[in-house]
Amino acid sequence: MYNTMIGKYIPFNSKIHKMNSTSKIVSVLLFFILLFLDDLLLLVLLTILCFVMMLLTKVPLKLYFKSINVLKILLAFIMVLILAFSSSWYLAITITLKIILGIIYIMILTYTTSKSEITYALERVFKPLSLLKIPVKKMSLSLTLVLRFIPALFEQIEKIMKAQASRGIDFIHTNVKGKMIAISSMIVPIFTLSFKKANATAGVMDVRLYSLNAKRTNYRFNKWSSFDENIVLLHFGLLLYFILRMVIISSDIL
Amino acid sequence: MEIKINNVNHIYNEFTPFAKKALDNINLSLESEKIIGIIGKAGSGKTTLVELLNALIIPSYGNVQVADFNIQKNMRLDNINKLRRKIGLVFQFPEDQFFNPTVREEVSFALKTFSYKSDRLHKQVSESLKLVGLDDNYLERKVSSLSGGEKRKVAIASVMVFNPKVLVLDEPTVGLDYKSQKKLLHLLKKLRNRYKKTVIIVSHDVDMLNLIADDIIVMDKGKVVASGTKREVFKNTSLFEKYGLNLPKIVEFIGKVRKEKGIKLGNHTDVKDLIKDIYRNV
Repeated sequence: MYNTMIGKYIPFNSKIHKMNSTSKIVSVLLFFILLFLDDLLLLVLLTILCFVMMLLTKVPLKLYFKSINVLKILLAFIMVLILAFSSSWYLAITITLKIILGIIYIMILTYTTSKSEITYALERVFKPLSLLKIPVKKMSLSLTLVLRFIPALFEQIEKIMKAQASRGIDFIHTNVKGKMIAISSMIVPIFTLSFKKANATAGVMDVRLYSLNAKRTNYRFNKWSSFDENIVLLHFGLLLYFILRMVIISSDIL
Repeated sequence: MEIKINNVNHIYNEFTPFAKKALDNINLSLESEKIIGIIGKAGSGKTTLVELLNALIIPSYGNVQVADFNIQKNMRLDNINKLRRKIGLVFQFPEDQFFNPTVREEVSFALKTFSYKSDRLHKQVSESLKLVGLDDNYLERKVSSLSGGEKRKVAIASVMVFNPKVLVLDEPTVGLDYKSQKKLLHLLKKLRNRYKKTVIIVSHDVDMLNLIADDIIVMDKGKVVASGTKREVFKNTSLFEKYGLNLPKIVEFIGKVRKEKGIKLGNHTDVKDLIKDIYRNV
């Protein structure tokens, strides 16, 4: 019923897999900043960039589309909401497309980078923020745990959905009203189980003497290569160009 | 009610790097009004097999025939709730799926979704609680205040309430104390004997299955490696050794006595009968 791959690491031997995890995180962050800019040409370029990156990962495209397919109801709902508030098809389509691109970019990151690499990279990227007393280690650990538990959470959701389907609430073979009832019947069990799992994980981490304050090294060392440089520069270049373009366009208008 | 599984193969995450064949060319015919036990190691495909029966999973290849329903890939399943009313499925730790505040609401949930008339609701809820050994005093109790055994009973009642012809239970005795297990097994026998239900139990507990099952299906790596009456299946000790499965302790004991002492004891499932037989022979 629901076999989502969101959050899973898929080991392949691709250029993106071999990239330094820090350069991947920086590229993802720059990509997300780019998504906030309102420019149709940029959106087209980002779509092409996303597609090229997907191909470079060598992960079957079907996997990406399958995972997006899982979220189609939510995306449709978001689109309807935007339409309702703005009456603008352009806005609804572009925002939905941006959300999809953002999700795909996260998938590119998680498919090609192991959880420990992501944690390490996040800590390195956000390290300067610790000067402002921001708990960077805790934040990067939280993010990693979220990524780690998305597949586990979806597994639980699947079990609950099957149990509810056995009692007449089938998310798949039903109309919109049935789907809403199915979702509402899952909320309480999912919350309860998530809290149980979170407690259990915290207990396990304590028992294994995990300490946030302990200094960590990374035994897997990916060198920063020219490919890493090029990818980061490409994202940064796009950002710089389109910010300048927007500034120039807005100054022309004024 | 006829249940036939024909040439079923099921592959999870087909066409992805995570593709896994959970069921490999399964052909089975399940007899009605029996207790059928399905055993096998973790990952052998037991849960996948039972989830096929009420179309929670559609087989990648092959078909499953349940009464007049034919479950196969690319088939439109109209009136799927009609099928789901025939096959009740109780998952492992069913109490984890509770989301209604009271026992009454939890048990009557399926009746409401299957559009039963409201005048029958109370009677059916009451009867299904009685069936599992709980009285009407439990109706207004909070589900969260129940003990583990009581929650398990409420979970079974919430499936039995719509009177399915076949009841499927996945590891029903896990997490229950001895007394609760005994009561549950007594209930399952009652369902077969008095209410003429077919009961399918997926379990690692071969001792429990030896006590109550009529037929046993043994699975390994998605294949059915043995099926038949429990006497036939448990007699084949080399099969269990080959697939790394435990025999019921009573069967192991009888086998050892036969091998080491040359005493042929009968194929007993009850310890009392075995003791009588030992006294007779020794």
